Amino acid sequence: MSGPSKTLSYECPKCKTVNVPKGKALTVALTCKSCGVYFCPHSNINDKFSEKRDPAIPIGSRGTFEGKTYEVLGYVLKLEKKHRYKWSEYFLFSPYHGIAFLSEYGGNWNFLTPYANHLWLSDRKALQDPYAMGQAFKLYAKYNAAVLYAQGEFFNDTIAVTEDSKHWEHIAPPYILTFEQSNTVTGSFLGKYISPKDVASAFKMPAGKLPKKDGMGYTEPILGNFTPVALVAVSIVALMAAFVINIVFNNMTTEESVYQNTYTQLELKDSVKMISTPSFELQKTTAVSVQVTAPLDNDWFYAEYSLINEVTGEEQEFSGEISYYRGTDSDGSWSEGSKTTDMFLSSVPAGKYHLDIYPEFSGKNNYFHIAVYRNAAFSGNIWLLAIGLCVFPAIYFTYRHYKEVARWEDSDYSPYETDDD
Amino acid sequence: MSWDNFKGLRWYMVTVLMALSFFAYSQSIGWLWVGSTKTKPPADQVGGARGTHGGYRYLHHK
Repeated sequence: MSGPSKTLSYECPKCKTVNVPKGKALTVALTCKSCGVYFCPHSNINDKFSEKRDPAIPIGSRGTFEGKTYEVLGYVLKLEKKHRYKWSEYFLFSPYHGIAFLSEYGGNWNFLTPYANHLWLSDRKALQDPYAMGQAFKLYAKYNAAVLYAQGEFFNDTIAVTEDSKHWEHIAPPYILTFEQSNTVTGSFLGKYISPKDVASAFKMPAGKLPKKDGMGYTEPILGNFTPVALVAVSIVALMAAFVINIVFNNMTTEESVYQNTYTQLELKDSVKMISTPSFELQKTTAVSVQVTAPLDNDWFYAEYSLINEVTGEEQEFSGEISYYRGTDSDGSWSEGSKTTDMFLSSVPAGKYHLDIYPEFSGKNNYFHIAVYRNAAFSGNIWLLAIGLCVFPAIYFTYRHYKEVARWEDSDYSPYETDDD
Repeated sequence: MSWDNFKGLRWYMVTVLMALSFFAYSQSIGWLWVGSTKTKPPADQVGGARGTHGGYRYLHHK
């Protein structure tokens, strides 16, 4: 310890520049502000880096995360020794909230704080798939690392701790749980994915100054800020609500015959070949069912219909054909078609109506029966709604599957089969 | 399960509520989304000759 005043300061072992640590007595290692050499004042360890990289977030910047303001004290560029990929770590400190880390790989960020409740601390051994914070974490990476470059100050000898430790990373996107263990140090951190935009916002800096996002982050949420279980829960509740609404309306309204009669060919008027029914009343806007039955046997019956509102004069024209054929062949007896048909009219307004019927007889059959029902029962809507409610979950889970496969592509512990398997 | 797990589903839940409301409204007025018989207004109500139906001229109103 040296310096012109009582302020804690450390002299660079190489260039003799006096460095005043912001972390005061907590600072264990630092880099010289003048020559950049890394040194630990109490152990005389020092190192020079072969690689230099300026941190995207300058040392001394202040950023606010979850309402807590931290200052960037240190920056470390690390290398995973097996697969040789590099990532950045920013060491953050707040006198009120303690330490935290921002890690960045491929333009994707995680904000991590110390986590003391890990389940494996008792035997100092990392679990394969720990359960923490109500989340089931999966092992994503287990590795040894080296420090390629450091800048700023640290509360431990970050080079020694990094290189002497085994590292475990577990994920439950957007969360990450890390565990590192050496002969002298055991530590755990719980983190959460943070978007580049939010990082830039936290430091009040342009997002363009941060590394460009390259691909999906391994803790990046796939779509929106929700869990798959939440989506399933909402979908099940929605489906149940739909069926309850359907049951309620089915019980509130019963199908009711408003008119029925049997007509013969003899009743056709010569001039227009038309039959007109007596008036019937629809008391409210409703679905109307027109059921036509004819005693067909290898025969057909066709008719055009016109439903006429006697007050407004509005008409709805529709038509329907029924046919029924049967016979025998080498496979036995067969039949096709039907002797009856139902025609559904959607949302017919309340009012006084009658039907004009323009039948066409084949010549064999000469009569038909017609019945008109209001509050006609129909089930198409509920099934269409049920399918509609399943569309988004189906798309989401398909998309999620492909993204999950992509997320785990870089992991040695992927739960998905890969081409390498 | 906390509200945080559902936050991202706000708009989906709003959409679902709108779909359920529309479904209830459709059920109340017998609006068939599918399966209804194809209908058309007669020619005289879409600018055609009044009082015709197909090839017939009927002028039949009660």
